[in-house]
Amino acid sequence: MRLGLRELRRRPRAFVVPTTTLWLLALLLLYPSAVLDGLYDASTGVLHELEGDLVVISQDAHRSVFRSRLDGATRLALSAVPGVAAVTGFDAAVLNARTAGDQPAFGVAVIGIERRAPEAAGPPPGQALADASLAERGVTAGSVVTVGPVPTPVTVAGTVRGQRLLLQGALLLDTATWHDVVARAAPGAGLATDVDQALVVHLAPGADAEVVADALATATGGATEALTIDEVIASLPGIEQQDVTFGLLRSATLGVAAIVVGLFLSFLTLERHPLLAVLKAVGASSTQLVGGVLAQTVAITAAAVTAAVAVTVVLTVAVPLDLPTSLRASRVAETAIGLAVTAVVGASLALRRVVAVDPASAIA
Amino acid sequence: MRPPRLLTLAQLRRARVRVALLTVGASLLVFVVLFQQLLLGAVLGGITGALGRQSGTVVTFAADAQRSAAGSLLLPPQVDAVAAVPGVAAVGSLGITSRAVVTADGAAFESTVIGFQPDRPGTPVGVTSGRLPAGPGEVAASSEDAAGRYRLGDVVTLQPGGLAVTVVGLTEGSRFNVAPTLWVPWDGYVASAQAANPDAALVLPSVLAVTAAPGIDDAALARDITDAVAGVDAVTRADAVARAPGLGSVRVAFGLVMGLGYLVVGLVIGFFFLTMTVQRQPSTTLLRASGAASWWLLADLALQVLAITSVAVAGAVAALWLVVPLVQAHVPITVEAGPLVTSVAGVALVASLGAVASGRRIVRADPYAAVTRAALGGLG
Repeated sequence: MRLGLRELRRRPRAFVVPTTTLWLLALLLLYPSAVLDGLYDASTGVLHELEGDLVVISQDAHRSVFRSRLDGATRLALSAVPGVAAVTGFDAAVLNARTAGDQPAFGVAVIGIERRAPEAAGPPPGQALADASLAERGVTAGSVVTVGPVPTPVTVAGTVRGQRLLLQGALLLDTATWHDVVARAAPGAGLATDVDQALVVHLAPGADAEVVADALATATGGATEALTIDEVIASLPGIEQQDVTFGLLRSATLGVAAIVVGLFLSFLTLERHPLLAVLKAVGASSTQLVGGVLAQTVAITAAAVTAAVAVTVVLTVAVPLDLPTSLRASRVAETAIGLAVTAVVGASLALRRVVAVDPASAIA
Repeated sequence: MRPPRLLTLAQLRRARVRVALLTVGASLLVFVVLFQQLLLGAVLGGITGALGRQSGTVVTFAADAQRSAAGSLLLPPQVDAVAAVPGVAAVGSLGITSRAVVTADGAAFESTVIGFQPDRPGTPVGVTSGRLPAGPGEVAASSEDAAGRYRLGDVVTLQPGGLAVTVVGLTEGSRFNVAPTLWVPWDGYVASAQAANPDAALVLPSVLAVTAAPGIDDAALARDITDAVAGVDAVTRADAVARAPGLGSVRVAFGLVMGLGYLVVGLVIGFFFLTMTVQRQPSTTLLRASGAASWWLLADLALQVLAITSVAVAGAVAALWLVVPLVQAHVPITVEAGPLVTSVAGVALVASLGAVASGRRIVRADPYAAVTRAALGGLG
């Protein structure tokens, strides 16, 4: 293994092309992932921060929170299901907003959240908590934001982090204020005061989520569907399509990585055939030689991924995109491990040659 | 000397494993590039294609929506004010919303529903089979999404609300938000909206489609509407499509990724042939010493690049034909000749550029080096 790494240090030029190719492939994996993960984070933050165990929506909404309607009778029925500790309302509308002055309009997600208990944390009655991302629009504590085609003022009491939905920063309101604001600001989107788009179910300690979910649907005669928060997120527009499309591209790119590494390493092995024969003739075992090749593979993969991370960071800052980007540590680790595994698989094509080297050929 | 194709085939056969690896790897890379090209086309055409395929020549948004039709809502006084602007011949309301569409066999899919006013601006012009819907229980649906979902004459249900509609026409190029798109007359749109939300006080249009009076320039009319009516932003139909928010960013992001793909193709093919050329250096020198001209050896190299690139492209296109139907339910990609040809030309170009280094080595081979080899009695 040390011999392999030493060769890397002494003959770096021999490994420039496979390292460069792996770097480009890592970039092909990391940069689109940074864009997609940024879109994902900016589309789902509100739901990730939602406190609760299950989200109930109307069956005919087909898993879209925005199209769902649940009335007071449904809430009562859900509250009576064994295993349910509490039911709170959740509403969402994406509207245009403005701050004072001639600043351009921007989109906001107006969110209605019902507190589980009066003393629980949440937006004060009649006012909003604004996501920190709206600060770049001039929205801070004390700001007055007008929302909707019928401009309706909302006073911001404070700021929160990580509250975004469908690429828009959120204004969090209590559900009563939400109903009032949306009914005035967007006449076609308002709901009656006892109607919510979704009801968040808080399970009693020890309750089984799947059992309760089934019971919730039964309690409403099949008119509702109980989803986990992850399922609600997966049903947001575009999430599924992103996962399918880029999952396919990632798989293809990893396949290319395996083949490219195998190809380059087999060339290198051919070139070094006399050297390998001499090493075997003086007593090096196949295991030692294989270890050297694998060490080189892992080392060039690590170098390629490190360089790709650096370039991805530069691209996300330097490239003028209106799309949010997010380079997650988990995605970097996933890419590094995926590339390393496929590179090692590809390297196995060369390993066969390494093992088959005949030490007697060193004398010939 | 005879054309080099026999030498080409012989060389490819002798390194068949490596050639096969290179071809499969290049094929996968080309598949990635082609897939992204088709995906880009589907996204760009599907985001706002509907606005470009309706009869109004000026599109009026709510100013706050910043030309995003999905975020735009116009109030009745604004609709009346737009209609009263001098130079406006006719105005039609377009409402845009999302619905789940449930087919007769119970399958459901997400869709965009666009309400339009028949015989007014905003009427879809992309109906390629069947006819325009005339009443609230009829729709024209995007043909690109029809496979496995609906056909002419099918009755589908818009949920929530349960409004049953019949597919009487199929459109082309008239999708919105990269989703199956159903065009329904305004009465049907209102009925669906009220069925979905009985609490809705009003059903507002998202945008207005406008046609200009004879002799009035569309761009000038758009400016006049914007200046005359508070809270609106009017643009020509072409601008509404080409300058929709987010399109530029999508193009930049895709362009970067596809550029990387092309770069890797060129690098992989180039390195492969450079390495092969270096390994064959003694043979090349001997051939030159035997009288083979540089152009003959370059032709051999070009044939090899052409052969491998052609097989890689063929493999990638075959993979596309296999994969696209499998993902169409999620991503509405169609295999079109234009983008394919453009991408294949790009691949051929980068493959050729990648082989330049090999070509230079061949041209620089010194035939005299053959006689200096120790095996031939030279001093080495």
